[in-house]
Amino acid sequence: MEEFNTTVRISGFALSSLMFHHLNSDADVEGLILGESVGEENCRITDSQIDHIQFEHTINIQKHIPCHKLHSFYSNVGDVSEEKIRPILSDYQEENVIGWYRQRRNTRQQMTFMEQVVHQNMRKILSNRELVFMLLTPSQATASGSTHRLEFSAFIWHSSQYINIPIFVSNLGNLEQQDYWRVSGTCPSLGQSEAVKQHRTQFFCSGDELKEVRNISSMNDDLLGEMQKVCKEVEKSERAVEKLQEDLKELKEAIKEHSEKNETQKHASPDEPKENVLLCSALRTLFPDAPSLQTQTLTVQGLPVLELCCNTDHNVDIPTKLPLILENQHTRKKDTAPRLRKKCLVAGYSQRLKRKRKTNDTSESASDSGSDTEIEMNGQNRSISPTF
Amino acid sequence: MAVSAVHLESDAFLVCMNHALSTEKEEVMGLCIGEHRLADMTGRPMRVVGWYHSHPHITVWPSHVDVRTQAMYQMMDQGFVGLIFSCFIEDKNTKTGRVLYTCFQSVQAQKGSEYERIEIPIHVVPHEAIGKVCLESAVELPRILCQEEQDTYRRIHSLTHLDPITKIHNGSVFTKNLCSQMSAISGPLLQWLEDRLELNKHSIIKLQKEKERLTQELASL
Repeated sequence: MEEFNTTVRISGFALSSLMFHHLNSDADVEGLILGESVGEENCRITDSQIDHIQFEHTINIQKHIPCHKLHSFYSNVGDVSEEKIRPILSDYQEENVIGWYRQRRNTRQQMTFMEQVVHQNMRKILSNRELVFMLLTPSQATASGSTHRLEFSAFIWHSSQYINIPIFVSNLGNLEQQDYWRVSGTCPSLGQSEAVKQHRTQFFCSGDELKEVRNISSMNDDLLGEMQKVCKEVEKSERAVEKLQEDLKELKEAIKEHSEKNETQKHASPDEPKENVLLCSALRTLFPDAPSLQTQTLTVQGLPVLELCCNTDHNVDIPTKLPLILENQHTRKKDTAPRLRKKCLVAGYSQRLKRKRKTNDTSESASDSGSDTEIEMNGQNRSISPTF
Repeated sequence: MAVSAVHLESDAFLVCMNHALSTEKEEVMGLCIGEHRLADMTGRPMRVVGWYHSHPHITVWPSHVDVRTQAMYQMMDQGFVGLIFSCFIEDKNTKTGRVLYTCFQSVQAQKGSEYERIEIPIHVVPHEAIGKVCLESAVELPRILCQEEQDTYRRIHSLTHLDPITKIHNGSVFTKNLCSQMSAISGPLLQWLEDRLELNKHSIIKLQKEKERLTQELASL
């Protein structure tokens, strides 16, 4: 008759560490569990002479490797790939993987279908028959939020089904200080015996101190010293990780600011067309009494929107920036009202302008040239808009 | 005036949990260091703001003694809070292990009557990196346990009427107890520290690469 008896053991530190991983995350978390599996066969012979064989399996969880995100080692359909597990394991051996874990809030202590699929695939890939799935489910125990509960258990596949195994948290347990004897037995012969006197020096050092006590104390002191050293290194590494995370945060913010600035610059142009300052100054110089010309905005019918006319003096140095304007200004006759008639442009204008320059007669306006082509455009007197 | 809520940083929670899970045979206790968050609380130093203790195998709710103890603390400091960690609970039917934690204060329902517990909401606040104080507290535990054992042993060993056989026996008990501590506490704690160091080393490499990448990206903008 065979009995299958499996227990899972985990230290309090490993369990707290698992809880710590989940407490620092808003979402579900998962990871791999490393450790070792120890099997023992116990044979018990009872009065009935039937061999009663008990297989005792102890799965020791030694550490866990948290995954940084979900679905790191399996696909959306639960397919597990060894290539994805390798980088998570880094320096650890695949043989040390004894299971995986998942932590999800406010859910039941029951494997989901996906978890079952992943577990089966893990068993195939890792060829470990006794692979363990550890499920931790924290939840709130009271509405006020004063009390919280964490439930945890392990699942293994056995005899074509998933069975629940209890997890034993190894601890100091029975530190029986009552084990010390406070009184000696009442046989003086024992204390006085030659045998005891002869062998005494093997147990006691000088001054009544027991060698065993001295040895174990020094080993323990050295162990605590080693722990202190590692603790200091861990502290340094925690600060280094913190600093790097701060640096990354700053870099990301700087990049975000930069791209936001570029975006606003890109979008600025089509939304707010920049004013052609030179054109505005030219129009103001040529037609100071026609403010309606200083507009970029026309109604649907093509009439200038007087409220949006520019009345800013852009302080453009006309002789330097717009010399042609001055020539034009001097040769034309002043007009009182803008003429809204549009007539077509004539190429002959440029010839006339050349003639004017030669004669240098600033008093003569274009209209006196005698040409029968009239060029009018929104109040301009036979001048085409200067192009720049 | 009762405290409205308690924020417990996750690394401090880790230390409390480690302590509570260290033994199922007796209750352990410790003090919580922190600060009260009030508008004018700038520059105040950290101080003891509460106490915690474990309830192995028993319900998370405070006993009458616990409520009275909490009430005594509150007489010195109205804002003092109590935390209880209940562990080593197992549901025999579902084979599910359970850990609970609660936060409470005490009130006197009527003048002269017994104290009652009032619930105080508690939130464990994420704190991915473990603080220096928390690490130091964590490695204090094996040192304290060792010290307690040594004190007990020395007291007994100094009894003059004990014969050599008794002394040898007591020496073995001391050895046995220290071995239990090394096996159940120091060993797993050292293991956890080494694993944490390994994890951090890998994180540093990853974060360093990411930092270089982002620095290049910023430079190119």
